[in-house]
Amino acid sequence: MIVLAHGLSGRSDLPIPDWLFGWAAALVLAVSFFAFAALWQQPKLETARATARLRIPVLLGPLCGGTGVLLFAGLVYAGFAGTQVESLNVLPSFLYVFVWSALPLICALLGDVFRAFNPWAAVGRFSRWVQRRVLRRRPEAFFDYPERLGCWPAVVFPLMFGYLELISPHGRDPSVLAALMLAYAAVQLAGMSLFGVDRWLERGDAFGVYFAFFAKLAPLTVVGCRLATRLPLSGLTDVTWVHGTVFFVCAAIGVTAFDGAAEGGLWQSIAEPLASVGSDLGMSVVTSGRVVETLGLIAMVLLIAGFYRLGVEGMVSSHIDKPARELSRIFAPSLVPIMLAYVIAHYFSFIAFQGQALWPLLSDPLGDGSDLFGTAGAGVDYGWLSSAEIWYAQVAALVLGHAAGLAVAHDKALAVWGKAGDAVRSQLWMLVVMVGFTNLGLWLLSQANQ
Amino acid sequence: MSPPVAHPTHWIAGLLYLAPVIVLAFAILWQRLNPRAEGNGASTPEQREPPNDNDRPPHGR
Repeated sequence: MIVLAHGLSGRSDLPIPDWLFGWAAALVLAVSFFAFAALWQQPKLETARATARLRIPVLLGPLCGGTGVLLFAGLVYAGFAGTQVESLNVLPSFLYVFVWSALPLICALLGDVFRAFNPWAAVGRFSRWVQRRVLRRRPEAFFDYPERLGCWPAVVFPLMFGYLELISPHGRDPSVLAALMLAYAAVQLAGMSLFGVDRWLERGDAFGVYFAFFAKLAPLTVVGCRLATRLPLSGLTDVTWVHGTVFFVCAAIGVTAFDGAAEGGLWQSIAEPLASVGSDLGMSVVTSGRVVETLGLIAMVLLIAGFYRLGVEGMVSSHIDKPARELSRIFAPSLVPIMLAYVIAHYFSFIAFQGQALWPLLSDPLGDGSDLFGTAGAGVDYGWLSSAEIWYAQVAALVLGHAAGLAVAHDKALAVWGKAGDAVRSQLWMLVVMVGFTNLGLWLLSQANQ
Repeated sequence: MSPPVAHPTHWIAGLLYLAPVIVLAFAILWQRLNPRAEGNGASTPEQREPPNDNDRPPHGR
């Protein structure tokens, strides 16, 4: 069964008040900042290079792509042909628990797993192979991708996915999800045929862009046809930051943050009076509630983007000889570890408990009583983690993620300004941003868990 | 209209979480407004700006 609240209630066994964790986290980040300043005098991530280790078999790529297409087709089939009871159909759980919550962590550890299994990319690449090898012609895009668009087509995705997951009443209907998956795949196929496979996947495939960010944190990557190792976080130096990329990352963080905020009492106290204003204007109670929640989602994304911008403006005020727009792009890689920290912290209990529910669902994907792998009767063990252990894991994820963000920003500052003193001076406001994001995350979790 | 769900403690808790951010921001601003607090004072931006014409010796150009 899917439980919407991702936290567990009651942490009465904590030795200190939860807000003190926020102060401790701020202290850890401040100490990390000055430790970086004292001990990290030369750029390390910027100069790190991947080392090729293993040759990847040529057939592995098409094999993974084919598996991805079959999995996609199977999930869509389950959505349409299976039971429409959301807790008994495999599609909602697979999408929200595995793809949305667990896959970012897998990509951050193992590299771009999604790229290997991306079903529409597999179809696009197969089509390109057929054109080259069978039809003997050079595959050409109909149009050049307009650079001004940047990755704005992909930016829509976190917002729409957030709406679907958190606000829409149909966000967990298996048949609706299956239809949306088909629609998304159709848009991707059209985009690839119009603008070229690789170009579109880099700019317009929101799932691909989203998971590629997490993969940049990983110590594993693929160079040519070889599996390579590299310094963790160093992949962030390869990201091309085009129009909309910074906002994409802020939107992804904002959606996760709103998910937490919407579970807290404070948001309820704000939303209910606003919803009643909508009702007074003639909207139904349900519509009014959804409008308010949508506005809340957008406001949270803007709050995250605004807070980052505030840190950048702080840098500008520190006599840094670069415009705010450029600084915003230069230091945007430091937001990616935060994106992962928010995902882990917020969905930790969701993955730990609802992840177990995937085993029986995979064995009975349509909810018709079948038992393909003999695990249909497996239950969920809610006792293997206490609420205090979950809280500690969430705090650790947030602090480590933000310390990693500080490290990325520090390394970037060293590469840009050369002198350690200038780099540290430029990063003081970034420290404030990191502490702010950490404590916002902790506060949202504490609210959701009350 | 239904009564607010949030207790004042929600706001107080929010302020407690916000406190380290405020403290850090004030510390940076205070340091900016009091350059001598940076230590030797030689690294303040104002002092590292190139001298203007009035600062140069009469035969320096």
